[in-house]
Amino acid sequence: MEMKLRTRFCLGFILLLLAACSSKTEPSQELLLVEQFKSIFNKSEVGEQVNPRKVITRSMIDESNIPLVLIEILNGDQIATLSAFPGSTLNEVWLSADGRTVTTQNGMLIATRGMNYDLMGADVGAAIYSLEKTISGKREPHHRRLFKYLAADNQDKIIEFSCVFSKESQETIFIFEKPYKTLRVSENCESGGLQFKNTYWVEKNGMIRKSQQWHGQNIGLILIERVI
Amino acid sequence: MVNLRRIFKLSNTIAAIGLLPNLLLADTQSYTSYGTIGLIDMPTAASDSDGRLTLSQSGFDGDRRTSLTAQILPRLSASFRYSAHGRNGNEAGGYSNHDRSFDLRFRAVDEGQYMPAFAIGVNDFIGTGWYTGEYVVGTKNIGPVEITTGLGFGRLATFGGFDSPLGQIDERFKTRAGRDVGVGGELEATEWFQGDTAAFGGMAWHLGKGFTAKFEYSSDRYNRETSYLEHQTPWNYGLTWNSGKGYFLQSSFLHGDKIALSAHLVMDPKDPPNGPGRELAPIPLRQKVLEGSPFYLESTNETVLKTVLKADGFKLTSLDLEQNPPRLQLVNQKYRSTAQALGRAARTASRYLSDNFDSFYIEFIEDDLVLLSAEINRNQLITSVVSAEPSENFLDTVKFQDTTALGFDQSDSKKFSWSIGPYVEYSLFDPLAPIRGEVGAELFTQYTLGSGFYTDGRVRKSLVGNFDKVLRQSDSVLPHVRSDHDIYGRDGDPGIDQLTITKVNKIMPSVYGKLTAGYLEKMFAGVSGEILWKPISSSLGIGIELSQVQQRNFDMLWGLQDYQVTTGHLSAYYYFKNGFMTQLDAGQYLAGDRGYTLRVGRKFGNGWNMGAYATVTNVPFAKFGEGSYDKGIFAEIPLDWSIGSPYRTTSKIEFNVMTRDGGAKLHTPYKLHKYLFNNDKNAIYREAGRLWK
Repeated sequence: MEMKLRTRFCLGFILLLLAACSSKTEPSQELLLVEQFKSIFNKSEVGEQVNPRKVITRSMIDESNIPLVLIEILNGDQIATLSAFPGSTLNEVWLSADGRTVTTQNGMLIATRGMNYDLMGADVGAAIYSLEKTISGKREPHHRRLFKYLAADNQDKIIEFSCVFSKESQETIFIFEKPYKTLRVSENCESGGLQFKNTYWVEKNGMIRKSQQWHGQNIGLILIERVI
Repeated sequence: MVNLRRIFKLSNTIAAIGLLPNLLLADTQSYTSYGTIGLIDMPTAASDSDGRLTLSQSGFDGDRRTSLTAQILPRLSASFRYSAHGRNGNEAGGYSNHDRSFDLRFRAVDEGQYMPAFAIGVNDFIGTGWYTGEYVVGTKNIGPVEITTGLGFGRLATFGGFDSPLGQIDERFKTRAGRDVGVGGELEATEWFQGDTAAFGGMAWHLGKGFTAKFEYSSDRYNRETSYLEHQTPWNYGLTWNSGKGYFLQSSFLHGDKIALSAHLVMDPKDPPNGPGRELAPIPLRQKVLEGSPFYLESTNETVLKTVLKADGFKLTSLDLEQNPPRLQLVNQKYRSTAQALGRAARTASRYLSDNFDSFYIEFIEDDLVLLSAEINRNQLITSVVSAEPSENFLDTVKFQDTTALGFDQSDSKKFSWSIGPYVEYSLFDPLAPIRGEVGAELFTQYTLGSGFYTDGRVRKSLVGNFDKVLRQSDSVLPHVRSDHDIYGRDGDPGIDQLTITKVNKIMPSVYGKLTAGYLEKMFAGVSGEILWKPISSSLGIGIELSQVQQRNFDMLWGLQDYQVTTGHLSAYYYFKNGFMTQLDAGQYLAGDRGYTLRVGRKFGNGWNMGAYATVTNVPFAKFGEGSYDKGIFAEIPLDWSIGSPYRTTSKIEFNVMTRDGGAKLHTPYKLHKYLFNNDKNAIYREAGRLWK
């Protein structure tokens, strides 16, 4: 059954990462990864976009153990599942079928690659610390967040935001039909005239199960759901 | 095999124009019929966005102007214009006259809350002076309305002129001497701001949805155009529409007599039409683990390293794991941006190299020369790759060094390669045929004799074009080293463009050498040597090139004509940290004349490059012929900027204002400075942000 699930994932272009279909250890995984990269390089167009919400079912998820997130660009029409990059990585790196990566640190978005207007890097150390404190009931002062982008002259564009968390409410959310008890926390950030609001649905163990996080001025908010 | 790079090179020019940036509708500037920022004919004090390049075409019955305007610096703009005047004349298009002109404008004062912006400008200040005039102008925006008023001199004081207030300061300003144009091309500064002055002014009202209504009071009487324009009033009216997609359209009613139309195409280096880059994500880094951890990589995974590098556009020519730090030598086949190439190669290397190494060398090779050697510290790499710290902080930890060591594996090199692709050649601004060009097929072959040792052949056959006619016999009194280009075009089809044997070598860690012999270019054959000193971390390069050549037959086959010459230059190259690249050559040119060439270009972080050059030699201006001395402008627009994906190709446009025999340089293959200044420390810092893309 597990094999069947994996096969369907592969064929359905939901999880194109071949390594995810293999149980082999590091070196072979890396070779498969290379094959995957080569196939992406050689492909002129990625196949028709499939909405994973319509294809993936709860039973498929329950039988798999590959870490998986669902990512949706909220003001665009892009939605995809990304699986954990095989092997060791700095932070959590999620890889899409068409060769993009999203990097999170304790569930907080810190970088993307392959998305054209990428988030090149971020400093979320203070945000991670403040979120922990906020959940445990402490009222935290403002914290600092740094975002780095690529300006058109190929120099860095670093923006510093001042942010504050606020605890909102207990909420049961459903991810592919499965309920999760969470605490909803919002984070309001401001820099000059620029403002955004992130929302996190955090489980009791501190895991961010679902979030809406600001990527940047071009892409806006993205939804990240931790599926597996 | 069709050479994709050539096709891309060709399509880049089209792409650069076709895939125009989405300029904001909020852009409030608009352009004059001269292609400059302003009203209808009259200038304003506003500047365009820094670096912007505008191509304009405008005209009315009896008059055409094609202009290229560049905002060279935030305050300084320059225009080059080719115009045609008159009706029922003998020149191309039935015009009686064609003329080239250069303008400069400097915004001296910025607009403040109450203070208007002020600018000063000189129009058509080199040459025969059809449009010669100077001005000072002030402009103030009040809500959606832009109000301009100014004082003009020269052509801009031909209507409503009065005694110049400058005459009170110095008698010399009272009268404007007639210009002694000679054969054109000379700087005519002696008459600037002299003679009568006249007031001009106007208003532009931004109506929304990209529309701007304009009217102006023009101080230009159109004296030179009386045969086809009847000046009835100084008032002009116009309406401009900004498409928001990089082009502007404008119609105007000139002097109560003529309807004029113009179109302006705008390219902005800071607005890549397809975003900053759609390449695949690079390979992520591994966590740093201690020895004994199950994730500790004891030995380097060479197969995977090589395969991943290849998939990412790098050819690994040598991998030395015997030394610590290990050394990877790579050919970058994909990325124009050396910073990006370095960042990607470093991440892949770091993922697959054994954890026994704390650092490693990435070296880029081109034509078997080690152009760049950088020692990367793995801990610094791990700290920096997705951090929000400035990318330059990481670069400061990279050790750039000069090296000659080439670990090139000969067995891996392809001995013979060939390609067929299209080529485009053009020549502009001949009054009898302002646009000439041809498109054809080019066969290029290369046989590698050894390390940095090549034979190259290039044959061209024209397919479509109008280079096959000789429009006029050259009247040059100098040896006809370039002015017979028409005859080469007619008789040399098909022709051998190049057949050379070349050896390039690194003589010392920061000294490069080249020796090449054979049919060096379409008009000359011979032998040429070049030596260039350029350390990787230095902004300065010094080179010498010396050649003994003989002119080739017009059929561009094997034969030679009698004319022989020794030509060569001592060159100094200097890159200023603000992006200006300068080159000064001193030496003997093809016609045996001696002098200097100064070339100045502004390099943008995204690979754009634009600038100008001028050559002055001991040939008297009268003997040089039309234009007085050799000069031109150039622009380079990289393909990756246009299409948003990584390619190494850059499209180059160079206009030399008039091809004459004085100040002509020999074209030799494998120009050393071109490799070096695009792969040095400055080139990487210039695009530091792209390191992690």
